Amino acid sequence: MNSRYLVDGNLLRQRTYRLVLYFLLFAGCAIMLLPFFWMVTTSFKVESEVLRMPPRWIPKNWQWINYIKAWNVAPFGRYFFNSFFMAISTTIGEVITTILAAYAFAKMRFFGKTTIFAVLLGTLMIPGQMLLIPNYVTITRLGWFDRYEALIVPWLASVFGIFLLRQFFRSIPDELREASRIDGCSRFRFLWQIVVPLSKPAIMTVALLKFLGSWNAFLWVLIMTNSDKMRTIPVGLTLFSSEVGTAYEQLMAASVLAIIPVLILFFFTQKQFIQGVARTGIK
Amino acid sequence: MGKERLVEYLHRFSLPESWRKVSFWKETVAAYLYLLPAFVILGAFVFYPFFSAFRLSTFKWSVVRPPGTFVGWGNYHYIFHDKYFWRALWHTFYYVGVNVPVTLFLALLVANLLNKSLRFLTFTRTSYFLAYITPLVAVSMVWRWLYNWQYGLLNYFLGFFGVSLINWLGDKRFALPAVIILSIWRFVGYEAIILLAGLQGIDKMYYEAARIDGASGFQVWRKVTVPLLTPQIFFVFIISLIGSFKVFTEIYVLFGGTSGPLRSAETLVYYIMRQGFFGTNHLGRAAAASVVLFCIIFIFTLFQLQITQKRVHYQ
Amino acid sequence: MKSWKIGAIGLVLVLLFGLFAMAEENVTITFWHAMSSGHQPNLQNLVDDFMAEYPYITVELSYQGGYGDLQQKINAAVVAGNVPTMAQAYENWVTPIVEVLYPIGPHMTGLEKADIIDGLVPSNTYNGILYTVPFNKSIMVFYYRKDLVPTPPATWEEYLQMAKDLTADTNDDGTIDQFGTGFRPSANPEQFLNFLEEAGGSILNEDWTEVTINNEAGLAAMEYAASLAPYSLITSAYMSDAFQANQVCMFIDTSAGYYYNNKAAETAGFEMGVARVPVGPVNQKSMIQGTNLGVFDMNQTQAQKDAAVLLARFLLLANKTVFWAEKGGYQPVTKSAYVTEEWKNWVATHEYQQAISAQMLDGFSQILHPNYGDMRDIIATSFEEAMMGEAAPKEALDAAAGELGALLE
Repeated sequence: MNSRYLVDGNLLRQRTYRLVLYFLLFAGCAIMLLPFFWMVTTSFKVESEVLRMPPRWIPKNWQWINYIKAWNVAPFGRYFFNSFFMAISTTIGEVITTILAAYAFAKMRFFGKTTIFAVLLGTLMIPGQMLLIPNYVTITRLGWFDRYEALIVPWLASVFGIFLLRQFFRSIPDELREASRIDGCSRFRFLWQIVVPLSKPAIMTVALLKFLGSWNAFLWVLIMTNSDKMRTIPVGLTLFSSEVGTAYEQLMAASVLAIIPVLILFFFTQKQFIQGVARTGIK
Repeated sequence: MGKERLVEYLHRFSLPESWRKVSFWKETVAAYLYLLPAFVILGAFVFYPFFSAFRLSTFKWSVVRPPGTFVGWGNYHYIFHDKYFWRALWHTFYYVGVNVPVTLFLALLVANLLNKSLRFLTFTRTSYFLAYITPLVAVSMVWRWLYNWQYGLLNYFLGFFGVSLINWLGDKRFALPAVIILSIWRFVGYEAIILLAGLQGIDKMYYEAARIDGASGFQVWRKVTVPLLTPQIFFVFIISLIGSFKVFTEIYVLFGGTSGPLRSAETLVYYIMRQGFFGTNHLGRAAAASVVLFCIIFIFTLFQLQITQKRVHYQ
Repeated sequence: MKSWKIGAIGLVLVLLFGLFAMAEENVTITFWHAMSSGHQPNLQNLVDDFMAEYPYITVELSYQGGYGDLQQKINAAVVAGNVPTMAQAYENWVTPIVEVLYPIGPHMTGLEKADIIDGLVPSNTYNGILYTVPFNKSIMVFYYRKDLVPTPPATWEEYLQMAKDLTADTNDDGTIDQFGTGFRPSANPEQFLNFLEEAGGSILNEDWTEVTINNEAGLAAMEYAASLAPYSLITSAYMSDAFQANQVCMFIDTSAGYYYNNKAAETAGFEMGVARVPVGPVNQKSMIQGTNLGVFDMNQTQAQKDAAVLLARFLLLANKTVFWAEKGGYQPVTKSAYVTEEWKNWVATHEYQQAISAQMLDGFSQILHPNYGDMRDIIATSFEEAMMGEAAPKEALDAAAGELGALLE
């Protein structure tokens, strides 16, 4: 913040205010990171160290072998590939369908707009599992069972994404559209060449959350596939648990591996965030 | 005479201005085309099963001869007379009532902090987001330890304030609060990220203008940032509301596949799962409870839409 | 060559080919299971042995997640007509789908059927026909720590007394941190069902027309459980966690949990023992749990069904069920298995197996009432209420009886 902006007597208050903020922020971080930290350190522990009470945080010896053991429990290489394929395809697909639909709801006027939007929102209000059996029947009838189509096509659109992007698009001033129309720009071009670049943080968020959702999709993948060559990481992760207990150290190792791509994606999208957007179009 | 009456009648039910313009209908066609890709997918895999759930609620489900026998209101009658249904409803309202506002408030604070030009920004942002993406297995393990009666960190800290040992996971009075705390922890980062995106989208010129007018930090926050952030706040609020009504997984992992001591943390969705998917097969009842849940959330959301209609500012 | 000769040779060749094809028609069957990483290699082993013996049969194993996931998968599959040839299934899952199953019993020899452990036959019999066969079974046993419990309690009275003696506040901070025993009523109502059986009680009467859970025997069982409550850790988490944290000294739990309970004991630094469950007023019996195998009959070819039945019978062979038990921590499911050298050796060299093995031959299993899933829920709730002091035993039982009555249709 510009210090010229602060009235003298407030300087000290502002400084302590900032210090308190930093403290809170970092205290928050510590709490937020706890389970992640646990996950990573546990992935290196020996079995007997995992469930100690009181817990042991740092393993005595770092068992890198857990990662190898975990990897060999299932064809994780294939699972990773499928997870990537599914996540990337659905993300790209969803971004496209969502941009189009969100723009319609945000900026276009049409018959039945409010009702359709309300129905759209309504579908979010039913627990996902109720939709599972009818979808299973549909997928089977389409002949997509145990194929990539079943994993990707149903996820190419999302109500959540449409809603989120609509909120962002609505904040784009109508004057921009007016200005572009004067220049002879079609609605389609306006959307893709002006609105989309301006909405990068929003679109990145939608993409990130979609990727995450697809990456973590478990029940759908399990139900819609039978063979190993179609399955994804979350299904593989259940292999470490049985009715009576769980091989935690291996499960954590596999989970750490599973999180890495998402983390990388997050870093990448964060860069888009930090660059920010300066909307000077109007001026 | 009759003609005048007719015209008057028509005027009473006058169509909206917009409906009379050809451009409106042309735009409608265009809009429908824009909606088409998404709606084809959603239609098949969301709308269709969604409506079939309504239909299912009127049947006594049979796996071998789906959908089973028609029972009309039978399932609704059952759930409305089931004390566990009402308890689940109460638990859900309690959960939503605390969870939504508290998480939103904290998320706003956090998003604001994460938006400043502080140092270690990537680290802090990642930390908050990590809470959301860390697999629930790891999360539940840590939190079950945090909540441990004798060795847990939470009781340890509370001890400093003179609070005696709380059996978070074993005492029916504390089970639901335990879930609430876990949820808040998990979703603060998630909501903050969305709000952060919104903050990033606020045109800098508004801040410039405020600065020129000599507004203090707090005033900028109140008069500029928050109003301009309302679309995202609204979004997060609705999503948080809907999501909170549907809370399930956190309970399942925190209480080892049960819904807390004496079912004290059983929410409506847990009740639905119990009816339809855990060893019993009353899918019709589960559907009926889902429909009730839908109606409740729908009313709430409508309510919210009305209230916030005026308060959501789009630039 | 004259054309008729060519024709004749051709006909003979076709006939020969046909015979050949009939004799060894290749068939592929699918087997859905919920066996996690530790168990899968063993299952694959068994299947490989089977395929070696019947080369024309190919068995495709398909992992379907945990038991909850497998159940959902099976149900969805039945609705869509997309079922496997055979699958693991709990009794509750089978009851609603019996009519789309192909009964295995009628295709077994009398000897094979008689060989199945008595306690397991009723829970595999629907409408008088043996539809499914037991697969991976475990039984409730008594775990205890040898340092604090030198001799395990033999009777209910001893159990109660020892639990009382062992419950203490070991670090003098005003709260009890060591409990004599522990229970998981909401997650494991079978702990109560054991008591019920040992008191001579039952949930329903013989022909399922009356609820008998709250009769004298039932009350005795619930009152006994409630008497243990002050000396018990009541939780929904795994007993092994509490065991390792020195919070419980002995408890009743499934034999399938042996590995984890033992690990917990090792970590905590004491030796663990396994004993039979304490003798009750009427008998000493324990509940057997686990999945069975069922074969589907929705759009399977006869060849597939035959092959599946063959596999089910193969898995029941003495040496196969012994192998599966040894490797997986389960118990053999046929009587003849218990007298094989292999198993006798195993029990002799693994001390903890003695108690488990001894209980299996007169163990009991759940009833096959179509609403058993709901019944189990009701019993779990009432058990929990009694154990947590929310309701007196009689109250809790009567309430349960009332709700159970509604389920009798």
